[in-house]
Amino acid sequence: MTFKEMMERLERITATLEKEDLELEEGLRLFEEGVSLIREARQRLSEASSRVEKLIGSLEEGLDTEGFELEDQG
Amino acid sequence: MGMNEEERVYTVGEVNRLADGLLQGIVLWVEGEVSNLRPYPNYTFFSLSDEDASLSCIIFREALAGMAGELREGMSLLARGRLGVYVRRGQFRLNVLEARESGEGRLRREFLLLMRKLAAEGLFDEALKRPLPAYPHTVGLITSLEGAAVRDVVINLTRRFPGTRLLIRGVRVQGDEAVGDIVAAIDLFNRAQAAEVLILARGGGSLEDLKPFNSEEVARAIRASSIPVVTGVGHEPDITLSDLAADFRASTPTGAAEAVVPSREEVLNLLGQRELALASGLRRGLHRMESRMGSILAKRLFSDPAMLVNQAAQRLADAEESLVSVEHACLERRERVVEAAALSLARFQREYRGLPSMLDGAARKLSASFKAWLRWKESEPEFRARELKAAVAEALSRGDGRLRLAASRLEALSPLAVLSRGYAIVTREGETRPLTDSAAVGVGDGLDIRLHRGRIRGEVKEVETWEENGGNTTG
Repeated sequence: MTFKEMMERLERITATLEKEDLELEEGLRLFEEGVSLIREARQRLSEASSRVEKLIGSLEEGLDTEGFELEDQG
Repeated sequence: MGMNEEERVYTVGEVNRLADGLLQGIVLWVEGEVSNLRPYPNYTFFSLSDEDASLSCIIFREALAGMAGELREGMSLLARGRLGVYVRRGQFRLNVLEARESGEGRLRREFLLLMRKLAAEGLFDEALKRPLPAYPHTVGLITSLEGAAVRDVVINLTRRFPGTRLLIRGVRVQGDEAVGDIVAAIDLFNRAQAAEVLILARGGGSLEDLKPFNSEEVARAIRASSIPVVTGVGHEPDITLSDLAADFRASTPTGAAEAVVPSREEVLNLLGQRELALASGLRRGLHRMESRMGSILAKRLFSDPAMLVNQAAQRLADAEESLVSVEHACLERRERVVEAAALSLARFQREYRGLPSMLDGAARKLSASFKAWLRWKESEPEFRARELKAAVAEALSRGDGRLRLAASRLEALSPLAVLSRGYAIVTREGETRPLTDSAAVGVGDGLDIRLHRGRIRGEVKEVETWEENGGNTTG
């Protein structure tokens, strides 16, 4: 699940819990799912590191990526 | 007008001197194209013009000598001069004190012409602008691999939202090759579908430096991109045709990075809000469940079964308590407590699956037994009572014990547990369904309020309804 999908699912769950008259069992199911989505999202935010790459080459001769480092500028 | 009208008659010379006097002291910069050059030994006449106006100018030898380069027909000139009227001819003109060639004049005019043309085609229409993706996984960056722009985007984007992949296509951002580079890069990202959103960035510069970003080709490539494009070119107040064609215009490369990804803090905040919403949503569901049980128990036909169920009353309280701790944990962001609560709620869920229908069945059966017992008791008290006790006891232990189980669970969800903590069940007089919505009663209606101990009868004095959005109205 992408981060975006997680956030969208979470939004739907909270909207459903807030607005609709659910059976308790269904409410509990959504609650559990929501809590685990939040946990997962927080974990990703704390663990994920960004990747910065250069896109090189061309579609015709083949695209490739290589790592990109900022040069130190004093 | 009339208010300055005088009786005396002016000479022509006086009129011109008057006009000259009124203009005296106005010194300004003006930019225009030079035409109609007429050089004399001590001064030179010429005109400055733009699309729709022309201005007579004179520049004296000293000022002309101070100018870098010479005056040429058709050149763009930036001139500083004093406005006045040449009295002998009544001619309005600018006495140029200093002047320099302005490369920007023509460029700016071309820019405006092209802008009008593309705007007329609808290339800059607001309706064409697409929303940016909310949490892009891959961001494409088109800029020079050297300089401040790439640095600003890389640093801000990675700092703001970790987990993003930034794919940079290096291009020349000025000079003759820049347009081709930029158009090809936009095209490449599109054909390879290599990113969810594109940033086109460069640092600020003169109109000449920004030329590629003002080109028709780049503006059209941006508009034709199937991937939304954010521009971060230069600094205010520079605006380029690329900015106008883009889906979102940030005024700097840093601003562009901020536009494409949310900050980690914003997202953490949002997650906190969602967590609270989850807990309050579930809490509402639980309360609805309690009300439903309340209406069954309100019939309270039995003393024995009520006793039977007493010991399980605490279980509902436990579930409630774990909810309270969930909310508490949400406020404090203590994930562990939330997880523990979720686990205990999950157990609760498994145990009580299908409970409502069992409870209804149990209540119906018990009620039927009790009514039968009443009839028997009326006819032959002593004997029938003993018989019934046995019958009820048997009924309670019959079969796989489901009835007993249901009865004990009935108490587990007893509203009594809730009532003892200060909650009350309110029904309309003569009805058994608990009130859940103030809109269901009107002023003057009788109310039956059941507390942990005892009952109160009351009357509605005022009704306040809560709207969906949290606001309320009183009626």
